[in-house]
Amino acid sequence: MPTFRSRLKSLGFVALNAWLVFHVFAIFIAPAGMPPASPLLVDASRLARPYNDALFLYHGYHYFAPDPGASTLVSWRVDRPGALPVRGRFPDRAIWPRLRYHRYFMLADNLGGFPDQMQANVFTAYARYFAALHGSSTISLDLLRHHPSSIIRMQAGGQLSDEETFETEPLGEWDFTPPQDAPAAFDGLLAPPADETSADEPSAGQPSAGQPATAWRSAESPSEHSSPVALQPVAVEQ
Amino acid sequence: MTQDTPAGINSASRLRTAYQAWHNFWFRPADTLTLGIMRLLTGGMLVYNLLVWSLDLQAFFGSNGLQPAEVIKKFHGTGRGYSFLFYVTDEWLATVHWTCVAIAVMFCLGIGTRVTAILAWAITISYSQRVPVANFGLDQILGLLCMYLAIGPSGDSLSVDAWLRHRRVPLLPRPPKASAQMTLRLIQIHVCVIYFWAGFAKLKGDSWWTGEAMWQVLANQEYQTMDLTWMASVPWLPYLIAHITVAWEVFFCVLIWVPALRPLMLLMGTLMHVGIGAFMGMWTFGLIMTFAYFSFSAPEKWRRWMHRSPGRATALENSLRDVTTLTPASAAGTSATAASAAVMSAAPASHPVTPQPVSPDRACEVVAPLPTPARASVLIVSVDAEERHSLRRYLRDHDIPCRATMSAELALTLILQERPAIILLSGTRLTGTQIQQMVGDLLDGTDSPIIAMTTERQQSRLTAMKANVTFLKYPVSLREIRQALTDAVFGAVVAAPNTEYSQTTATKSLAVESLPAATSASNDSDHPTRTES
Repeated sequence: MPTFRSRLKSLGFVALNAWLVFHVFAIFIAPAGMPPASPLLVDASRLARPYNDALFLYHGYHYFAPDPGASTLVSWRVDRPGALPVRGRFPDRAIWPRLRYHRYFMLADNLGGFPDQMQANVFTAYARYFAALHGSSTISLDLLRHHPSSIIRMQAGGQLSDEETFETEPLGEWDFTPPQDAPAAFDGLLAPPADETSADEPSAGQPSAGQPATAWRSAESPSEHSSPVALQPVAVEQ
Repeated sequence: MTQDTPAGINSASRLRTAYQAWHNFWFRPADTLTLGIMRLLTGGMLVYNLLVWSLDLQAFFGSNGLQPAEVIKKFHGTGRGYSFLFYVTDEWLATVHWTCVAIAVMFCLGIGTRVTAILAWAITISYSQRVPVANFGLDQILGLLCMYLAIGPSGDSLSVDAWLRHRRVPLLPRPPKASAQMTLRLIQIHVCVIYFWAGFAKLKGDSWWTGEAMWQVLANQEYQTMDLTWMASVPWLPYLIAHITVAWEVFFCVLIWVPALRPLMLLMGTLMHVGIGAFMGMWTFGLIMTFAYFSFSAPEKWRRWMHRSPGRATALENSLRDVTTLTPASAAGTSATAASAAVMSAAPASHPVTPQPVSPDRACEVVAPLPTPARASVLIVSVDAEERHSLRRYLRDHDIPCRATMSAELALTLILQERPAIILLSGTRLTGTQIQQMVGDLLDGTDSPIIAMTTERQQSRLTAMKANVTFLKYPVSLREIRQALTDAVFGAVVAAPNTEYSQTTATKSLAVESLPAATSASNDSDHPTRTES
C-alpha cells in the first residue's frame, strides 16, 4: 500500500517530467512564431508565450539574420544661443569599454524592431536626454544608416566609410522649453512624455519641425558624421 | 490482456527501455563540478555586465534617461516584462544597483548559492527588461544560464558554500546529483535550440546563400575591431566561412550528440565565438556562448586539470588497472602495492604492529613481486575514480590496508582472493536500482560487513538489505568513514567473544589491531579511541 508520501513523490516526479516536456517545447517554439511564420506555428508559439514571457525566454536567436544589412546610428545637434552648436552620435568608437559601446550601438540599431509608437517615444527620450546633457532646450536628431560595402565595391577601390554608404533620415527637432504656465514639476528642460500631450499641436516634448521622414534621403552633409565625435559635449566650429 | 501476447510483451519491453533511456538521459546522477565552473564564469560575466551598467546608470535607468520607465512599461504591456527597476526611484538607483552587484559577486563566488542564484537570475531579467532596446545576445544567454544555474545545484562545487562545508568536516567529493544532470541537459538542449534557429533564420536571407553575409558582418564598420577588408581580394574566404557557419549552426543540434564529433563541433563553435570577439568586439557574447559549452564537457577532465596531477592520475589509472586485472597468479604477490605490502608484511595478527608510513604517491606505484600474498582489510568499491583515489589515499595515510575497485564483479574476485574484513561501498554515480543490485551481488559473495555510503533516496532502496549493511549518509566526512570502519570491526569482534579466531576473524583482527595502531601513530586527535578505552 503506497503511503501518502510516496504517492506525493510519484506525483512530483510525473509533474517534473511533464514540465521538462513543456519547457523543451516552449523554448523550441518561441523562435518559430516569429515572422515569417505559418498560422500553425504562430498559434503554437502563443501556447508557450506566457511561460516564455515570464522566464525571459521569448527570443528569436536571429543573429545577423535573415541578412546582416545596414547598421543604424543616431546623431544629434544641439544649438545653444550664443554658443557653438554641439554635435554627437552614438555609437561612438571612443566609448569604452566595448560592452558599453555595444549598449549604445543597440540603442540605435535595435530600435527598428520595436513598434512605431515606441520608437517615437524613445526618440523623444533620446532628444530630451542629450538636450539636458548639453544644457539646451532644443535639439535635432538624425537617423544614420550605414550600408555595408559590397566586395565588388571594395575591389574597385571603395572604402567602408565612403559618403555614399551613409543614408540620413532626419527624425525632427525637439523644443523642451517649458510653457509659461507649465507646472513646477516640469522644471528646467524636461517636458512631459510625448504621448501625454496633444498630437495635433506642437508642444514641448514633440518634434516641432521636420516630422519623421517617410523615405530615405541621401545625407545632407555626411562628412559631418564621418569622423567620430565623443559622447561628451564637444564644441564644433561652424 | 495484450501483455500476455508476444507483441504485448514486446511493446511493454520497448516502453520500459524507452522509459529507462529517458530516465538515464535526464536523471542519471552527474558531477556538480560542471555547474560549479559554469556558475563561476557566468557569475563573473554578470558582475562585469553590472559594473559596465554602473558607468551609465542614470542614463539608461534614470527617470530622465534614454529608456523612460513609462515608455518601456507600455511596450511590455500588462503581465509581461517585469523588472524591479521600474519601481526604483532615481535617489535609490545607485544603492539598489550596488546591492545587485554585491549579490552577483556572492553568486559568482558561491555564497548562499541557493538564494543568490535565484536573485542573480531576477537581477539579470530585471536589468534586461528595463532597457530592452539596449539588449543583445549577451542578455539573452546570460538570462537563460542564470535561470538554469538557479534551478540546478550550482553551488555544490567550487563555491564558498562547499568550502565552508569542507572546513567543518573534510568531505569527500560531493555525490553526483540527478538535478545536476537535468540542469546540464536543459542547457545542452537550449544551446541546440539557439543554434538551430540561428541557422534556420539565416536560411531565410539571400546573403547567406550568396555568401555575402559573412563579408557584410566582417566589413561592418560599427562592429569591426580590425580591418578585414583585405578579404575582398580573396572573396572565396568569406563565402566559405558563411556556408560553414550556416551548415554548422543548422546541424549542431544533431552532430553534437555524436560522441566522435562532439569535440569537433565544440572546437568549431569556440573558434566562431572567439572570432566574433576578436574581429567584432563582442567578447561578452562570444564568451557567454562558450561558457554554455561546458555543459557538454566531461567533468573528470576538469577535476584532473584542477588537481594538476596528470602524472598522478596516470599512475592511479595504472594502479587501478593493475588491481582490476588481478589474476590468481598475480594475487599471489605479483601486483600488490607498496602500501599493502608495508602493512601486510605485518607480524602475526595477534600482535600489534607499527606499520611504516607510506606516501600516497608510493601507494600508486607498482612494485616488485612480494614474497607473501598481499591482503587488504578494506575493499573500496566506487565507480568514481576521484572518490576511489581520495578514500584509498586517506586509508593508506592511516595505514589501513585497502584495495579499490570500480565494479561488483571485480569486487567479488578480490573478495575471493583477499577476504577483506570490510567492504566500503560508495553510491556515487549509481542509481537506486544499480546500488541495490550491487549490494545484492556483494552480499551473495561475502559475509563481511558492508558499509554503504548513500544518499537518502538510495538508502530507501536498500531497506530490505539492512542485515549486514551499515549506512553512511552523504555528505560524509573521511573521519566518519574511519569511525564507521572501526565500529564495524569491533562490532564483529564483540559479537563473537571467547572464541578462537577463524581465518576470517583473523583477517578482521588484523584490521582491529591495525586501526588503533595506525590512528595512535597519527596526529589526528579526533580519531576513534574505543580500543584505548
